[in-house]
Amino acid sequence: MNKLQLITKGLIKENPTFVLLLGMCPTLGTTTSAINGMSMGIATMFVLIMSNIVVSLVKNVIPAKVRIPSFIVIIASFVTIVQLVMEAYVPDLYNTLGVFIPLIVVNCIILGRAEAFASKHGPFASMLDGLGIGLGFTCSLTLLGTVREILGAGSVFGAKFLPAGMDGILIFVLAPGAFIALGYLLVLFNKFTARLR
Amino acid sequence: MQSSLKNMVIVLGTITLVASAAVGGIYLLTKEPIEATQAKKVNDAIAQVVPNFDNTPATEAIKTAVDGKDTVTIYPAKSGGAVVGYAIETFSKKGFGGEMSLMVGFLPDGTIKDISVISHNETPGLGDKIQKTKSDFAVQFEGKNPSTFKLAVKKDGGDVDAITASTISSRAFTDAVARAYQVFQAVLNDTEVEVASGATATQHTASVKKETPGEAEEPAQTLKVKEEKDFEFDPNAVEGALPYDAAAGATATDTTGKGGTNHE
Repeated sequence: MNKLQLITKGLIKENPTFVLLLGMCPTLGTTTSAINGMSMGIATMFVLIMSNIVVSLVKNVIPAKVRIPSFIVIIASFVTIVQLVMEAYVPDLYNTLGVFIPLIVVNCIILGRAEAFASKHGPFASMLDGLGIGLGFTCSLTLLGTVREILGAGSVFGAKFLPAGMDGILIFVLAPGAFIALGYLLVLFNKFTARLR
Repeated sequence: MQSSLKNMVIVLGTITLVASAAVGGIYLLTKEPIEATQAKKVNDAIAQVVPNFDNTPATEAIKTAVDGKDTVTIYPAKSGGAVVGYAIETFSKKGFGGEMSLMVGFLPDGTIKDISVISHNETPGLGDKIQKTKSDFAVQFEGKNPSTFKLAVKKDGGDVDAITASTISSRAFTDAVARAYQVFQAVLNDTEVEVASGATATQHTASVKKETPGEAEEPAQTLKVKEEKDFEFDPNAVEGALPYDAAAGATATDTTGKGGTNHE
C-alpha cells in the first residue's frame, strides 16, 4: 500500500463512520451543527495522529500483556492536552463540545488504529494512517452535521437560509434525528461508493 | 515482546510517568490563559449588562450562598463612587441540558438592564435560543422591573413569553433571573444606607413601582414601607393599587412611623 492510499483509504474504503461504524457516540452526540461536527472531527484527528505516532515509536518496548493500558494512557494524555489547549484558546468551542472532548479517550477508532495499525507499522506510515482515518472521520462528521443543520435549523455553518420566523424540522437537531440522518446517509454512502470499493 | 512482571511494571510505570509529566507541563502552560479567558468572559458579561462604570466590579464581588452551597456572585458597578448597577452572576439547574449560568444586570431601582448567557447546555436549535445572538427571547426582559413583570413563563401564569418548543429552557432562564432578583433585593437591604445616600429622584419613582400589590412576600418590605411616605405627592404612580394605596395613606397619617410594621 503506497503512502497516498494510506491517506485516501480513510475517506471512503475504510471510512470510520460510514464503513467501519466506529466512534458512534461522538458522531451522534456532537453533529448538531456542521461546525460542531467539524471541530469534533479535528480534535479527534489530532489525538489520532499523535497517539498513532507515539504508539508506533514505543511499540517494541511494550510487553504484549500491558499494551492496551499503555495505549490508553498515551491516548488519554493527548486528549487531556487537547482539552486544556481548547479551554485556553477556543473557550466557545470548548463549551459547545463539552463532555465529548474527554470522551475522545474511549473513541474506539483511536484505540482501534493504535492496536490494528500503529503497533505494527513505523511512525511515518502510522502518522499517515492517523491523518487518513482522521480526515475520513472529520468529513463524515461535517457531512452529518451539515445535513442535520440544514434540516433541523435551516442554516449552513450558522448562516441561516430560511426566512426569519421559520424553523427547520426540529427533530433533526435532537438525538433521534441523529440516528435518522445517519441511517439515510449510510444508505446513500454505500450506494454511491459500492463501485469505488 | 514477552511479558514478565518486571518489564510490565517498568514499562507501564515509565509511560505513566512521562504522560503525567507531559500533561502537567501543558497544564502549567495553559493555566494562565484559561484563567484569563474565564475572567475576560465574566468581565465582558458585566460590561454588557450594566451601564458604564469606572470601578473594577470583579474585585468588589460579593458572593452569596443560595440553598446552602451554590453561590450567586454580585458585581457592583460604580461610577464616581455611586452605584450605577449590579451585575449578578446567577444560575439555574432546571435547564433541559442541566445547569445554565447567566449574568443579569440590574439598575439600582431593580429594573433589568440586560442579560448575558455565560454558559448553558441547552439543545442547539431549540433551547439555545436563550442567547441573544440566536433569538429575541432575552430581549423581552430588558427594561422590565420584576416587581411588575412576573418572572414566570405565561404557561405558569407569569409574563414571560416562552420560546416555542423550549418551555423548559425558558423556565430555567426565568428561574435564574428570578434568583438574581432575590439576591439583588437581599443586597439592597444589606447596603441600604449606601444605596439611600446615592438615591436620586429616580430612586423614589422606582420604589413606587415596587409597591404594586402581589409582591407581599418580598424580603425588602421594611425598606419599602419606610419609603412609602415619599410618594404621597405622586398619587398617579400608584393608580390601580387601591387596597395598598389606602394602606399607604394610613401609614402616612399615622406619622409615628410604627405604621410600617402593620404590613408585616
